[in-house]
Amino acid sequence: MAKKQHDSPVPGTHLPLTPATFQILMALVDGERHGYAIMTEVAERSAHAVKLGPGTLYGTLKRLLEAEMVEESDERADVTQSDDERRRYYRITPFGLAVARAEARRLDAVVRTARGKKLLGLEPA
Amino acid sequence: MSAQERAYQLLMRAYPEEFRGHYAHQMAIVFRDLRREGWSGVRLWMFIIGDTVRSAPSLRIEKSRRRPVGQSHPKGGIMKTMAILAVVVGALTIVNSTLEGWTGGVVSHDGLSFVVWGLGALAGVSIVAAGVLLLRRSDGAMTLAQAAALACLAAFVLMLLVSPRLSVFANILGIGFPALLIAYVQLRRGNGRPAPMAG
Repeated sequence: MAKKQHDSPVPGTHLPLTPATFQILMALVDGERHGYAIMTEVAERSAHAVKLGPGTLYGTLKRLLEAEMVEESDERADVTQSDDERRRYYRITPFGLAVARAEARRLDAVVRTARGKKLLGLEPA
Repeated sequence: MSAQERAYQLLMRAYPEEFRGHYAHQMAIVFRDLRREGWSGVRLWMFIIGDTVRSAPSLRIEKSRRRPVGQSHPKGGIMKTMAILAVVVGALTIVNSTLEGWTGGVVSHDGLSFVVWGLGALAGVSIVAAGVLLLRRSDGAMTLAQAAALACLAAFVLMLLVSPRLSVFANILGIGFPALLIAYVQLRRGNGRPAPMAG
């Protein structure tokens, strides 16, 4: 895929990410996946608290592709299914990884602040 | 292709055409995957309709914002979004009132629940009809769409009189949405002829 110039190449300008966006980027950190694999990874990692439907998933992937945080890899048929089931695979770009790292740092700072204010780590009275 | 997959293809019309062109096939595969994993019936459709209601309007708004000036038909785009939302909201209302009517009326043998189910179904069918009529875009269809939205509003007000303990969400959907639809169509007709359909 040809590299294009980013309008806003600074990762921080994309923050904060929506929960769905961050979850999808995290699902792609370990390697390329197709849509349903992203959905199941997000659901399992969040103990089924986050369930992305097909519209939310592909709407978010479309925005991530436009922002060049994600790119498509080759389309291929699922080995267990028919040729009709040609799935598109997606992988995170170096820019997407930088944005995901920036968001993780932002959330880490929020958690540290919450801990400093004793909102975490204490049982309610 | 199964009847459920055909129904999902129909529901996908809520998304912009360009988006469907790129992702409809992949979304259909995911829908098939969900069914293979055991999702079915009301659980599947509540999830899918909820997902469509959450994701389709924002994609349509993004699309209308991006269209170059001179090529744009933003009002037509809004009208189409309203029409599709009306169909989705109506379908949700029918499913919801059927579930409540079934659990309240059939299981508990409660006559009042049957009345609420009937009024809910009438409200749902009316707003679906309003949505379908809005897609036709003629002056006559606009008048009928307003009448259908008014029928939905009337059915919902009757429902509130019979069973006042409806949720805030149900009130927003049942009263707010048809009222908004009537007002919007009136405004559009006041501004002249309907805009050409976009998307």
